[in-house]
Amino acid sequence: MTDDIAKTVRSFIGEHVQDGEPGDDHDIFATGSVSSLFAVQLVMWVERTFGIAVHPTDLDIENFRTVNHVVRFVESRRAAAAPA
Amino acid sequence: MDFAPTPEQQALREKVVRFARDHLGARAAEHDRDATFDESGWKACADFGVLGWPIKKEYGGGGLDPLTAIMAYEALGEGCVDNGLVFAINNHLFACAVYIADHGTEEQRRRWLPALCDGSLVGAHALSEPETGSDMLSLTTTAVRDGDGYVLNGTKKFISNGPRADLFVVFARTGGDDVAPQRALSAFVVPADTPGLTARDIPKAGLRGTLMGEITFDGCVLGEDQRLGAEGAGYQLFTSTMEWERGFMFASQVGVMSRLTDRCAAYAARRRQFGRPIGSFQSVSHRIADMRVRLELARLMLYKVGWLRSRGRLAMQEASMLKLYVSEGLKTTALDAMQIHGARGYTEELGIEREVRDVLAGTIYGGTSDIQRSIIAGLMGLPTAA
Repeated sequence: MTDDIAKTVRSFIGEHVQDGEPGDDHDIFATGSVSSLFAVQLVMWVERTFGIAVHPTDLDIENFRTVNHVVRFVESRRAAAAPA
Repeated sequence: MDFAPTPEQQALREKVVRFARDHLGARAAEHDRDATFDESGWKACADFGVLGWPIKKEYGGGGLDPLTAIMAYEALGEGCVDNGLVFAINNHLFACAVYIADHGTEEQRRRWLPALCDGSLVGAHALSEPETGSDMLSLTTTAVRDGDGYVLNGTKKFISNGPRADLFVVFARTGGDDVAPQRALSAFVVPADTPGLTARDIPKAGLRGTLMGEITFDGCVLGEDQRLGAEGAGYQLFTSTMEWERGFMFASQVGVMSRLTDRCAAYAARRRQFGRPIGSFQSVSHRIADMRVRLELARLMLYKVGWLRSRGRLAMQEASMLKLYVSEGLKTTALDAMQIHGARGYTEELGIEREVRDVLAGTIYGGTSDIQRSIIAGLMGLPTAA
């Protein structure tokens, strides 16, 4: 499951980062290689693609700065939403 | 899906419209002509709770949920003809107080929010600069680390409430060229009496009851406890809070749209030419029907933003669509209202010309219509310029 999520996230980020598909730990916001709107675009894409609700309090760049961070965020939200 | 307001929301709406009609706006023409801030109207709004509706009760606010608050501000815009006063309230609340409510420390909230809610402090938001408007990542005001605090230098321009404000939320550059643009900005809470802070008035075409100014920070010394959020988090703080400005600030504009539409319908039914009411001419009645359609769509978009926020959901694209539609639609409605009222609409007699001047800025502040379209397109996945 994690591999599938990572593959999907990697592909989306790769389409928008100027330098091509980044490594899974590459900080996409550190180098200015994405537009100022990309953070929001990424959040909305995560909501839509993985069917999870992102709340205003989740809008921390730490949740979205690398492929691995996004994967961890998606998994944590899915785990929280899963029936006990 | 339920489109009906609750009985409590409906009652609040009616109460707010009645309050605004009875207690606000009597001197709207004077404040517009003289470009003066309505201090007594401000006080009346503070006493009625307007200045704190969406802020938690523990900080002196009314604790309304976002959807109910949005309906209340819509009602305020409908009932209050002094658009300048309402715009001052919008800036105070949605561009200053909510930043502190959403991102402040407990100490910052307890220090500033009660005074913002009771109206003893007027708030403002200082982002735009002489050379930096929509392109916020290029702003040049700096906050340089100095010991335990910062030294703030720079000039902000087109700051609503600026010359009257007691408290500013200021965005400044804390990171150098080696820091990514999205991590180079920070936000600060800065009282107007900080040594080195000066303000000058900027005259403008409309919303003249809200003073606008240029604010200069010349070596202002700030404590670390004045920083809002983490250092370098200014951009994400702005992005996550901008929904309030783009969404909630335009609630009152929907109210203005409603007021103008009702006014035109009443006038067209009463005013007679060629032996019959002008509303019987399709050129007039169709114009009013289009006003009504715009109002309906604007209201639906507005309530959706409130509904999303009430469920703790993001409403970024919805807020941009709302801002774009309401500001452009209201401009059309106001110009149509002037046309329907003819020569009287163009003169100062009915206040319609003031309404026209007041709505013009809506397509500019809070991100121009062009920027909103770029945001909407960008959020659809289209390539963006910046």
